[in-house]
Amino acid sequence: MIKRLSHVTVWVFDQDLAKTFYVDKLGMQVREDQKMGDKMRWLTVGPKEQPDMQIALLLPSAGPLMDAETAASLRTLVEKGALSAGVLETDDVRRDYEELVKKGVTFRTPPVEQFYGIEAILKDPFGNWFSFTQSKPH
Amino acid sequence: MCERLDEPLRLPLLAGLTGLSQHAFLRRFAREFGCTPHAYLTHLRLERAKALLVAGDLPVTEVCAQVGFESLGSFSSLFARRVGESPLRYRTSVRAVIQVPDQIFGPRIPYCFRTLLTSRNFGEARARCGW
Repeated sequence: MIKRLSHVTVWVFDQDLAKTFYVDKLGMQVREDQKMGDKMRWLTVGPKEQPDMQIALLLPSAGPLMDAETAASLRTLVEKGALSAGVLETDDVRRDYEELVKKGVTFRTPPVEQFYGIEAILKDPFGNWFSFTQSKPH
Repeated sequence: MCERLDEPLRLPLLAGLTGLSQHAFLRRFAREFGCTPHAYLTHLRLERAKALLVAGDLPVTEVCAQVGFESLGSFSSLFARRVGESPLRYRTSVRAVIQVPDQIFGPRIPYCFRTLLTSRNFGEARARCGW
């Protein structure tokens, strides 16, 4: 039986910038940061309160997984905001929204009431977007 | 020392950890290990380099850096002198005899992430991962 989600990929174009954003701005932790082969770097982060899940911040580049053209298309998709990266939960979306905006984080929408909670749409520096949600109890 | 192989030897720090003077520390170290701290560190670095060469796909320059050598030349020649063959030859000859998992040390990078993102042999990497 599938027990849980342990890793998920978010495509980024600059891993230093990604680390700054996800760690310094969003307050996540670095889980692993290690060179992998000659050029690649295995960089994973995760929310402090969820130690058993990591987001791999990977660089799309030409290699066995994709050719240069595909890597460029993937980059375009991310930049155009076509790729949703998931939902990040918070216990106070309005407070966090204010704080993150001050830190320079961009949002597509400010917190808005929905039947399931209050939701803002947060964007990373590359175009990946997350629903940023304070959920109502079920 | 084991945990900081990539850093230069810091005698004052090591002696400080034991509460001995540097002089007393050196004497005690020689009695316990039969060599100087520097020689012992070199031994640890070479052992670690051997493990990294056999177990992973790190290029020799990276192995060299990870075990604290500043120059590839001095690393390679010391390695060859002590081990009897160059770092790359060592990797090949050990792998010819025993099969070693791609990654024993370091982060647990899922195999196909690692392979599909780093392998130089595109076709083989794709085949191994079922693409």
